[in-house]
Amino acid sequence: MTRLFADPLPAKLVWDEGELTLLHVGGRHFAVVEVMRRWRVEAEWWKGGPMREYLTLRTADGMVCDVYTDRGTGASWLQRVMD
Amino acid sequence: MGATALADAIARIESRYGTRAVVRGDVAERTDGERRIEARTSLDQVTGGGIRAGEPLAFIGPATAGKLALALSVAAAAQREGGMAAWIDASASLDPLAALHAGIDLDRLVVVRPTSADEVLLAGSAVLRSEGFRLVVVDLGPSFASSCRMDDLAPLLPVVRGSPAALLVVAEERGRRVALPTVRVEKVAWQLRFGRTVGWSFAAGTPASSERALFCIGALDAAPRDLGTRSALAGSLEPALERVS
Amino acid sequence: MIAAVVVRSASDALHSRALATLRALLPHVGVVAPGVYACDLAGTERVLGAPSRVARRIIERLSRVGAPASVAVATTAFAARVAAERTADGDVRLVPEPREYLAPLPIEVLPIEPKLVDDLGLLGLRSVGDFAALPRGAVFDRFGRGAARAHALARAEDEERVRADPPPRRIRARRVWEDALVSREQLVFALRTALEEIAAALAADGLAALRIAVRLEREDAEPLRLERAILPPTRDAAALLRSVRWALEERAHLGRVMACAIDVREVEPARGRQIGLFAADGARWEEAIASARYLRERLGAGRVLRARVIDADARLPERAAEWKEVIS
Repeated sequence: MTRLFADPLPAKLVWDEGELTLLHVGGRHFAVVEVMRRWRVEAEWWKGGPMREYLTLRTADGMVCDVYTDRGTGASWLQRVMD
Repeated sequence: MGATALADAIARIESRYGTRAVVRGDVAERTDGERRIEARTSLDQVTGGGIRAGEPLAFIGPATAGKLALALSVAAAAQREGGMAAWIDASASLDPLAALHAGIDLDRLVVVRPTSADEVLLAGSAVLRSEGFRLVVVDLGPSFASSCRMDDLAPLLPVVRGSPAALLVVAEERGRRVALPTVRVEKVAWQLRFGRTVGWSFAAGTPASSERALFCIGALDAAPRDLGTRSALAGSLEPALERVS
Repeated sequence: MIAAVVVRSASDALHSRALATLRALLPHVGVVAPGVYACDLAGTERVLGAPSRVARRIIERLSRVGAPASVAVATTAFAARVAAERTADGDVRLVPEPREYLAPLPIEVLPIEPKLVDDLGLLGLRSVGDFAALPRGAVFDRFGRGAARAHALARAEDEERVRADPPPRRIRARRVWEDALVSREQLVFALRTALEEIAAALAADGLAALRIAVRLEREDAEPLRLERAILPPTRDAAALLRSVRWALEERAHLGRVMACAIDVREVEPARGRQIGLFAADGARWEEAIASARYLRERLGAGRVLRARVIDADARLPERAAEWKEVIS
């Protein structure tokens, strides 16, 4: 089941030669071991709605979470954690 | 015995054993069964027949383990007989859709979003002292997003002893100063499909017993499937169980 | 004799104070309108003195509670009221001949429709006396029952009695302890029986408490007064105790409590339990809502919520559900 943060947490994704290696969130660093899913949401594109790149990540310590990057601002946010 | 002496004696009992330790006959006659929340899954076998009103219990496990899924199923069970549940959401991360999929009636779930440990205690005390709830869940959330830690909950423990509600704490780690009866929730194995992780299986058990309840989450958004207990499945799941401590 | 009392610009609080004061002084007090009271003085002369003296006493008592009033005494309630409305604050007017007193006043003082006022004006009838002079039967035939009643008022023939509601019974419980109570838990326990007594009194009258006041007499400090709004209103002793307990927990030090008095300040008719709107178990619903309301007050908006799924297939996860305040 999932947690869905009412206010997504600011996150930072670190890429190394096209591979996602690190997730920074809440002052903690998580090594990413797998990108499990990847999809794009363009909601209400006709009126400039959000355009997001979603990733479902699995970290080395076993956390599975959804992180999205806003294509407009480039900022990344942790939105869900599976538990 | 004068009124003051009687008040004093009862206050002493209550401060030690909770505000419901001394009750009128009609309250005392409530049977234990009426005050127990049964998940009706193999979890009941590790909690000793369900979660009891007036008692605390903690589901402890890492960020992605399955403890939230179990807590949602317990909340749904608490509502099954018409009761209300309170969800104190210390990381503001309750997903209504997940709650709905777990069988929770959202109309009968009061969600409180505290922003500090003091507010968690205030909310916890208020709902535990109310006669309105069968279950109070304090979900501390992921440690990097929570407004409260397990040790901050110490003042709630005397309150729950007198409450008609059970207290369920969901946290990543045990407290150092607070010792709660604990169900440890741990991942057993990842489920893979075409080389990709799609879900996981997990075990829930108490430190006092080797018995474990086993569950499987076959898709990331799905409710857990009850696989049974370790003893019942010992033969068929031997390889996976090797990895459970 | 009827004494009409007018307290001008009476707020709700002033009205309540004035009414309580009058009820404490006189046996039959009716409320004509907020701030306007009719008191039947029948049988009061032996105890309280002549009507003029009673009127003076009314003014004096009301003045003490901050309610300046005018009083008029007449044989009919209508004449007394009209006279009191035309008397300055602090003054008493005795109206020995009500019909004569009313006669020169404009016809509009009578409770009649504006259209009838116009019709009577067309007939040249502009004062109460003009109207009173018409034959009773003709007024009834031509203008109907309402006009006939106003006609009786104009002639000071109204037999209307003061409709006095009995004063509400004071619901109160007191406890005095030989030894001071020094802990909060002791006090809460000791208050239980007092609140059960209150609950029983409320139940006997079919009422629910909306506001209660607690006064704690302390050995080592001034009396402590607490006032609690009870939402939803209840006559359940456990709910009353919980409310008092929360109030006590907000105080760091309670001191050595020797006695307590609990007063029910506001009541409303008990409506029974609400069933089924929020939960199958109505009893628990009330309790849960009371807790939610308390937390809403303490934590503020946006913190005590319930959710509703509005689009399970929403592409943006945050749009799948909406959150609403449990207590709006």
